[in-house]
Amino acid sequence: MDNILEIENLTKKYPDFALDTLSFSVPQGAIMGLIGENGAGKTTTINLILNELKKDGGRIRIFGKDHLEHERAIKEKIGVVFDDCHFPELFSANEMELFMKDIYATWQSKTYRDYLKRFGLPQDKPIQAYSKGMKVKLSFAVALSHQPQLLLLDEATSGLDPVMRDEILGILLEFVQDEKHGVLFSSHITDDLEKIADYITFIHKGKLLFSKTKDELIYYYGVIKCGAEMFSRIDEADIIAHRKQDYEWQVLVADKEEARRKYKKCLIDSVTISEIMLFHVKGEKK
Amino acid sequence: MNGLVKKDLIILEKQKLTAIAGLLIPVIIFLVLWQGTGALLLGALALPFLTAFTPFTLRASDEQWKWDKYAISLPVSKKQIVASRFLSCCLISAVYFLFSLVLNIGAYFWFQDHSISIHLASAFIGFGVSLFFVFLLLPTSYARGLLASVWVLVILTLIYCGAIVFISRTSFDIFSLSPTPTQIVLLIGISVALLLGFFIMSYMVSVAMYRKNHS
Amino acid sequence: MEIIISNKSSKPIYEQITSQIKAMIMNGELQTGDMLPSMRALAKSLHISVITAQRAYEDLQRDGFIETVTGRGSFVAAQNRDFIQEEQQKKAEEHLQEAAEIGRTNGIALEKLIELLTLFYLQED
Repeated sequence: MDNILEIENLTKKYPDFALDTLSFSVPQGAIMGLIGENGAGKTTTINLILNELKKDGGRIRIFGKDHLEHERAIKEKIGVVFDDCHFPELFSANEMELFMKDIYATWQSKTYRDYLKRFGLPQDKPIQAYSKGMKVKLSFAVALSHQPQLLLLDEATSGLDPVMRDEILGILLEFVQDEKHGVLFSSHITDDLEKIADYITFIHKGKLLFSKTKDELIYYYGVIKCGAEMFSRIDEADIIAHRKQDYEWQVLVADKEEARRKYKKCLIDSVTISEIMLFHVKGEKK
Repeated sequence: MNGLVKKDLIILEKQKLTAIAGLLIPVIIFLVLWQGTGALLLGALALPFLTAFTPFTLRASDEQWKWDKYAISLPVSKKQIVASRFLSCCLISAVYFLFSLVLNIGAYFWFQDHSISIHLASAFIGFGVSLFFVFLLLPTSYARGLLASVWVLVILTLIYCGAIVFISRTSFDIFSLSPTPTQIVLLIGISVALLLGFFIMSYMVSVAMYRKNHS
Repeated sequence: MEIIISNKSSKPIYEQITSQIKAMIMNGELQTGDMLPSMRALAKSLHISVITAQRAYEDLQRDGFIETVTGRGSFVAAQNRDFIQEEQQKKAEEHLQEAAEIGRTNGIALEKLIELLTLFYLQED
């Protein structure tokens, strides 16, 4: 399967932070969730993809082409939604189209109008009058109306209520009905990613911790909860990370079925993505 | 790039009432107080000053909504983003210039207190000055932000006004100047060349500053 | 075709889907040759990730319940006696495992359980 986005050894240095040889790929037809703490490098990565920041090393390929050599052609086919709406808010949705259609060669007026109607966005009112949710929907309407193949979302759903987030998830699933499309979705809301992401990539302090299928994380990873004595008997090779809580030890393992067979006396639970994150960030590795 | 110019024009269109008031009020005052000379002053002084607001309004809108953060996702190069801004500002200057031309020609026929060539000169000089302002303010705002360009404009205006006051205080009678056609052509040629050169510098600096802030 | 999935169940979503589709095939709700929704369409309807729907279909195909033809879609496969047998046996195993668990934790003797099973098996409805 081809990759819609390929990041290879991406590096960016700052005085007090560095993105260090980051490598991961988003396959065609997939939704990849990008997770990490604030300041871990998610937004930096997206800005490097868009060439808002200049990379210090590495390669980025989108649709199989170098992202700098074919920047303009590539950007025709990328839809971006940021966490804040940066449209001039005195403009109405209609006025947005007036100039967007000259910027994108592939702008489709009918698609745009259909989205506006579907999202219930008043076309003549200034964007200032919109609620936060409406602004996000407008950003999606614009991003989706020029036949994009790749969607880049940077915390696009933070600040939205669950109903609206659910609608957005539906839109993303619609978007990947086409196998040639793809989504990179940076988000703190791991619940949403657990629902619709195919892959999860975790960046921590500028480094890649893992890039795996979501199903592997949700269904295979587990956490062993046990006492100190049992903990000392757990095979080091099985431990991804561990945390000592007040009354128990918690150990993150990659295969809970195997752990159930090996450590029969322990309680072994499934684990959520946010818990996996906590283990990696706050836990200790042997 | 058309799209970006259109966006700028839409932003300005929303301010048209203020712009029109800001135009008509000085026009009325100057014409009532100073008749034909008023038109000259409008052409050479007031109108360029008014067009200098264009870079602000546009830059202010960008900064208020952090448009540049979004613009990076558009299929336009950084050069085009800057070029479109230059184009929008020059377009507006051109519009004001046409207005100034019509105003001065009208004033010539109505008030008849100065020669037509002086009226025309006023409009053209004003156009040149307004372009000069644009070429100075845009790179300033890209390099140092909106506030810095406000200061630059204030200082420029003071210098400009000061110069005019100074000239009028001396016994130098500008109206008795009658350059020969050759001198006029030479003057125009030099001004155009200077403006062009300044434009190129201004554009290159603006692009460099924009790139620096977005990498 | 109705598929209900639970996000809170410990059973993975792809397993829930395969179970329900298998059940529908077994009880005749889905006939041989019936077309299933594309895995992407299924993902969208259920609000799950495409890769999960894909896994479900892959498992169904591996177990012989459906066939996927590239470019045409996924269809209910002609039923193989052996496969059905195996499925039903798996079901029985699950129930027996449950019964054994209950017996163990509550101190019910193994002989008693075997007695009950024999009784139920031989019972005529």
